[in-house]
Amino acid sequence: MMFIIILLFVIGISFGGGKVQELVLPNGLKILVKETRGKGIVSGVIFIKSGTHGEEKRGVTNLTATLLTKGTRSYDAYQIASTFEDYGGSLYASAGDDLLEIGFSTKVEGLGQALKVIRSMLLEPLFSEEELEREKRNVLQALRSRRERGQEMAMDALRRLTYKDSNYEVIPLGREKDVKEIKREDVIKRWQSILSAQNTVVSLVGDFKADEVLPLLKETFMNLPQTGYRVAPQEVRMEKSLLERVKRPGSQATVMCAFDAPDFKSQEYFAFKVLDSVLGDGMSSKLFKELRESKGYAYAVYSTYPTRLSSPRLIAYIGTSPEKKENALRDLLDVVKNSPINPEDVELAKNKIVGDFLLAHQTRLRQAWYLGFFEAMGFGWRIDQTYPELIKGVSFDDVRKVREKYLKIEHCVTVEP
Amino acid sequence: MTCLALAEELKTYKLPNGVNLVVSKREDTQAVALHVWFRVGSAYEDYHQKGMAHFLEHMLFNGSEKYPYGQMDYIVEGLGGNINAGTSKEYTFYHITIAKPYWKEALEVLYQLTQKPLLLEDMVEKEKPIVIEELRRGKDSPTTLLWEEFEKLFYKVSPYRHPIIGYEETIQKFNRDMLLEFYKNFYQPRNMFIVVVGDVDHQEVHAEVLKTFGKERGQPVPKVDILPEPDKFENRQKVIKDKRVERAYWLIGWRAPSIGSKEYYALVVLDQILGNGRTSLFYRELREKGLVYSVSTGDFGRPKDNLFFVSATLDEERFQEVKQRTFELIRTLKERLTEEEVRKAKERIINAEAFAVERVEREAYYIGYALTVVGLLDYYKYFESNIRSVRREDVLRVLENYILGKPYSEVLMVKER
Repeated sequence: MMFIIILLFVIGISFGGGKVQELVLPNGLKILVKETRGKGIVSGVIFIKSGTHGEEKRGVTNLTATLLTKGTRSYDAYQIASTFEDYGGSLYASAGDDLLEIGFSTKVEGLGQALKVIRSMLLEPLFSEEELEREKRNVLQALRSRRERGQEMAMDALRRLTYKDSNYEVIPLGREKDVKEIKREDVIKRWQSILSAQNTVVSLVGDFKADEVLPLLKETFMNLPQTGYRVAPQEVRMEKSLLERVKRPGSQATVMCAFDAPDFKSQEYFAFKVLDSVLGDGMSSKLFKELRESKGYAYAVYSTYPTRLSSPRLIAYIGTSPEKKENALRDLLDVVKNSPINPEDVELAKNKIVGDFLLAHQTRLRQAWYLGFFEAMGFGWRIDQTYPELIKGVSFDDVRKVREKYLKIEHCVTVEP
Repeated sequence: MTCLALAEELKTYKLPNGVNLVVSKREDTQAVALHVWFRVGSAYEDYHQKGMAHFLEHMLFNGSEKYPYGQMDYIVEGLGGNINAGTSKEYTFYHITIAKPYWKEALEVLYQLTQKPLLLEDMVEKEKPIVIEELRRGKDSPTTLLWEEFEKLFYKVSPYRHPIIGYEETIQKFNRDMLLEFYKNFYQPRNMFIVVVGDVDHQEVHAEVLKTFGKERGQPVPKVDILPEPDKFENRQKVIKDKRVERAYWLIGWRAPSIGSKEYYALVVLDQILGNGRTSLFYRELREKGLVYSVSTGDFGRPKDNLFFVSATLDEERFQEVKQRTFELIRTLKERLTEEEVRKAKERIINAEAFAVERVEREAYYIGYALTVVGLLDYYKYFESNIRSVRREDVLRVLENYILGKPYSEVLMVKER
């Protein structure tokens, strides 16, 4: 076992490790480009720091993002889509909790036109009444359909429980009563308030020469308004353990728990990433070994530690038969808090994270996504290159300490028939 | 199920014991994908074995001669790789994606996993509740039920009518002897297809495979006749009521050309025109006109008794309107389809492949599928030129021969009130 672990430390491996060029436009917008070699394809992601922070009507940011692809003063929805799809690529726009993102892929020869269309989406979107009403119906339906799946119901209930009175309380899709009320003026106002060059990061990775694409990028983004929305995340503390039970007909019960976790800016972030991996990532993890393999409670069991601007949580999940759910809940808490962890578990988890991180960088879209995400969230894009080292630098003692410090109380939800 | 030709990079080998090996050398990545495919899936089971191909896939992870239970996960995850497997109706495959320096260790793991499993009785018992939880998890999702019902309606004779995972009654009765018999029948060198994609040396891979998989003597594989589905002359309809659903789900399907047949490529182009992406006819005319919440099309990529489907989510009260409009769109395509649209659809398919194979595991999957299911590496190698050769009249012929006025099966799932 040990020789394998040492091996990974000796050999430096990188995926898509080209040089990154950084450019800040006069309006404050940051551009990152990376050259790759391949069949002449390119992907990009535009991140706007905003997410659902400061939304008055919940769901307005998501609707705004969706409508960006539905028509501008110069291009209709079909023209927008075909700009990317004709080259075998695609385009999406969506809102998350902390960021709004627009991602795309195309061939290098189509990049010029793609950027023209993106410029038009950003600076002259139509936000037509007709499209808005249709997309509202779609969102309302999507919100209702979350009740069809136990896992989504559990996630929604857990958000309400653990993020009460903050923007994270509601998923980016929004809340039914608010979505119904959203008017065209709300969308226009939201877009005006969040479209700010200083809050925007553009990341482009592809088989091009950086010198050739930088002028195009400058032209595309130089007219974005300089200032705008200031994101002010609210901190929601976990005060005491809570349990909520939700009813839903079905053949399975879902158990989902949130635990306190460190902020990404803290020194403890990477140690906690390792802890999360030890507990709930993959077939060698504690939750998998104990709850699935040893107890036979479930097919699916895992934990995650999503990166957020504030109020981070570790989330643990298990889907089980209704008659097993009480034991599953009890044992899930026990594994998360008390299962023995040894130095070898920590080394294994570190290698797992580094390996996954590198394998996740195979596509240009993911490479662009990581660079832009790290920059927009405030890590700085360089962490994309030092991430493996930072994970490797975590010690057994670091993991032990963060576990003792954070995994004390929990907010849990069960969805059961 | 599409793929891109890169014929010049591919090397194929037939080992003396019958193992088929394909190596695709790629210099644009540090990741290596290793796949081992077997031509066996749930369609190869007799009635008492329903669910066995999938159960066996689980069992192979429960210990081998060299690696005791659990150790393979530790080795692969400790090297930063991913290991997993999948079972379909026609194939079962085991795969690892890992950083370049460790491909030999990964190959050894796959060899032990697939050729030296212990299949211990107590592990069979350990695995039963896990697989039954997986089955119940599936039943907990209305959409899984919908697809199961759809195939049950479409296929009356073919084993495709049974779900891959099987039934609780059959799974409960599995024992070591039954599994061993099934294993010995199908996990033979002659029934095996190994695919390696990455920055590796062809000859070195060949030599390593000879040292491992090449050692197995092997025995003949029993020929299984997968019962063909007789022609049907009537439309079949089924309405399912489910308390959990919040909207209606509609699935309609027709018989379609077999994968790899000449007509199949015209079907791929037709599929692109009708339902692939935001530029497709159904997206524009059904989704963007507010008739449905989502719509997509596709085929099952089967070597016989293939089917082509249209799938949509909608409001129950609009069902007749949507169905009528869908049929009208298909009918009028005959007059409306232009050469230019066919050309664009072909370009989109071909261009999209460059993005699809950015990940090595995707390319390995395409090659494995071509070898194991289509039975022809040429399907992979000449996919692009076959798509290029499709003409407008070929697309219309497929439309006429298989869809227009032809018998269909449809399932509508609505809310039980």
